[in-house]
Amino acid sequence: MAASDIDLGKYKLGWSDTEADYVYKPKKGINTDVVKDISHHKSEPEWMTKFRLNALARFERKPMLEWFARNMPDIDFDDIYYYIKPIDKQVSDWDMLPEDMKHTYERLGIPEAERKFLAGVTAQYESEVVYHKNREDLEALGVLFTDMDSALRDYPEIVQQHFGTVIPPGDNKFAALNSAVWSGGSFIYVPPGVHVDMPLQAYFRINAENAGQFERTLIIADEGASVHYVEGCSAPVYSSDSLHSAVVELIAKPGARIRYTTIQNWSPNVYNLVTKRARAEAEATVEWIDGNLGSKLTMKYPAVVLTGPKAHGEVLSVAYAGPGQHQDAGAKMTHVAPETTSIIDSKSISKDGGRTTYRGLVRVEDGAYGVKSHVRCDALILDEESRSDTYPYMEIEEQDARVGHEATVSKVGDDQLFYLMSRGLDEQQATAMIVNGFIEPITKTLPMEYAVELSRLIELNMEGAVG
Amino acid sequence: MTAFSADASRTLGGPDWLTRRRAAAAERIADLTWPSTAEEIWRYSAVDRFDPDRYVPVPAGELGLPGAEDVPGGGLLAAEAGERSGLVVVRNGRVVHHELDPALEARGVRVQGLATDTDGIAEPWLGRCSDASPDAFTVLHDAFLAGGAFVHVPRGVVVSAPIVVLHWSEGDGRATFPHTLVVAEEGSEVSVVDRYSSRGRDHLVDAVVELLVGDGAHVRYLSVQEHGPETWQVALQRAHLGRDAGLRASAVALGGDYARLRSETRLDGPGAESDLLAVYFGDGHQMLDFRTLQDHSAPDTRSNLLFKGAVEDEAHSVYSGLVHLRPEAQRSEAYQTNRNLVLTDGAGAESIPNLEIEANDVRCSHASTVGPVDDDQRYYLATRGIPPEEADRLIVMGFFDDVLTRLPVRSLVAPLRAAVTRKIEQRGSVRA
Repeated sequence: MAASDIDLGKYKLGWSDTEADYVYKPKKGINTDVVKDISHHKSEPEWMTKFRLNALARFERKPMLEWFARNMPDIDFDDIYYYIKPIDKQVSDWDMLPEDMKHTYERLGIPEAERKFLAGVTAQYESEVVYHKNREDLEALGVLFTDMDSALRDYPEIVQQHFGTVIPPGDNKFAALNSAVWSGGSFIYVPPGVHVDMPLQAYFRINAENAGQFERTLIIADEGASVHYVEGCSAPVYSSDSLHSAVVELIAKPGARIRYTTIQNWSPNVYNLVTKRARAEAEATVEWIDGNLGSKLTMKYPAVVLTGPKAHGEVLSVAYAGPGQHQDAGAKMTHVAPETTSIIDSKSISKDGGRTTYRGLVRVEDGAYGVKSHVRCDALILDEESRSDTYPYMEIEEQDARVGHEATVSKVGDDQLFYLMSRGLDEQQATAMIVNGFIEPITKTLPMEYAVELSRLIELNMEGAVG
Repeated sequence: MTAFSADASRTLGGPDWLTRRRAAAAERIADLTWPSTAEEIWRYSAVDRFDPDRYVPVPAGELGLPGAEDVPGGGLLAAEAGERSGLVVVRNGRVVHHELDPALEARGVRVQGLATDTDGIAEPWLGRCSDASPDAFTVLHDAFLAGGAFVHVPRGVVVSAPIVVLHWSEGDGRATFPHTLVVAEEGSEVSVVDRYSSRGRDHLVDAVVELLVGDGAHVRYLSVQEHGPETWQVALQRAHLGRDAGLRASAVALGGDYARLRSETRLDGPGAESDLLAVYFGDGHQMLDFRTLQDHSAPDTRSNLLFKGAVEDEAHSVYSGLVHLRPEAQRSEAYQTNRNLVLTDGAGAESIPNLEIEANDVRCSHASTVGPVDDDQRYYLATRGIPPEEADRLIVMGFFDDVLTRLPVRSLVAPLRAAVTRKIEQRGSVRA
């Protein structure tokens, strides 16, 4: 199946395969036994079992933040499956995958992507990583790219040393939940001085009804190393809500560079509550590129803690909110060390009753002299039913810091529309073209397939309701 | 909480309608929970340090008797205002003197105290704004509102020179509740200046300003706050604008230990326009705290906000503003800008300019900056032979000047510029 044959329509990814062959399907809800069970099933070391139980206690203790509760009044933690294991063993060859899973991935375009020069594929189906292939030349470089469960088994020292150090289990209620029941996710370690030229890629899906996905990703770029990781999501439509609550930790050691790209296109019944944070040590660079198209509610604020002098952090994000959707996304930059810099660039589009929110924080600690930070948020509201909010926090405790913020909210300009329509485009084409131009600063940073897919998804989302 | 009792509230006297309003609020005091910084609107504030037990409302015996309003006053501060059409002197929250150009009085303009309004002319207006946006401090205010200034301009009357209200509060451990109520009826025009000063250890000023701007009316309003260094101010200033109404409101904040101003504007009528300006300068351990709301609830409305501040020594400032465009506010424009200069290590500024936009055919933008004095500007002045201390003073004055020159009451621009300069010049002496 060629990439061009893949239809990226609104609900076209919303099929579901039969719910057969689940090896392990525990009861709904969460308690000490469920957590112990998960850890036991995975034959984890004792420190991880303790880590999970400690996190569970924190999850139970932590109150739901008021604005969290306001965003999702109807969440029921007892009506969710916290762990589902689809097949017993992982496969390393595409042909060994069960037929219905392969079908799923084919519709997502994975084989096509793999035929191209993508460096490796880790596809997550349900809560466990089932397919994983590592390019041999990466292995030769000493790059470790595997799923998180295998990493815990195969590289226990590296994992234990870094796991939970950027996002401790008590960070917030959903990070605590993830820490208690996490399963799957990616692990990458890039040795000092190694540059991974091709983006590393993984696809995630939720499939079982009410299956929570709690993947856990840890990426470490050692001194002077660089890596680009790409995560994309697409999920089938179900009648009842699913919860997705990932934790992603990035560690960029001195002089390292990490770019993390996400295009999130969960089906419109998914709660997507993700904690993403990076630590950038001296002269390191971390870039989060974040596209939010799907889900019922996304709450995600990728963060960079700039702990070493001259570190640089960037968040570039695009959000699209259609009918019934709320994209509550943003960014956080914490400047701890001197001469650190950061850029936040956020573009959002709301349409057909959708709501976009930018919520961000730039914090400059006392002593972090010479800091520069710039935040820019632009929102397009395409019709009367939709709305957009901007909540940019700035906390500056250091005199010698230059921090700026600007934001605009507008509709598609009449004169821009008039210009394009006078050149023979109809209103819908013209609007789509303006919207694609609006998000162009973000799309141009994406790998080409993603840029094309994102533009196409936005165009498809625009269809029908204009004019 | 003992001092703020219903009994204490009852001793304040005054006309029946005012006593009734106080009694209703006093009943609610027992159930009040004091805010904390856990609440978003109080985040970054000093409210966690607030201890109501440290204050006693000014007892009736220490207030001027209602009716005895023949005490002239104003002194230097009144003289600074230059030409004026009216003057009100408020001491510890009750009007002790008022005067008005007889020609305006003849046209029905009223300038007087609430405590002597036995006819209840102010009654239908009082609380129209503050009741729409209550918090624990407005309830306390309503329960101990001893008097306050009332300015009423009838339909179509134009008051050209400003009406000046001087609020003077004093007393160790005393709490005062100044109130200014301005009613500009349809098609009228008026300028009002509120000037606050205070003296005393642990003094609390819980102030409310209500600006009711009728259809097609235009109000220019300036508040200047030069409280003593141990004064806590918690103030609400709220305006409601009718169809095609115009408001130019500005604030100059220099004094106080902790001084908070919640400045809210609701654009109720189509075509209403508001322009909000502020200048603030904090030094020592001061904390200056601003919360603004531009609430557009009608189509074709326009608002613009520019707040500029500087902090030095260990001072902190907070600017948190919200532009809210409701679904009915189509074809509206709203702009919001906050700029902060941080002059010394140890000082800090928080800036949170928020937008909530529920209409699509609108133009909105906001911008905020926090940073030190620009090195390029300093270098330029140094190449012209200007020493660094002097250069910084010039740069800070230049930073403030574009707001100061736009203040709605021209005659006060020069004295206020001098007041800001004095405060900047204290720098050297404080440090030496």
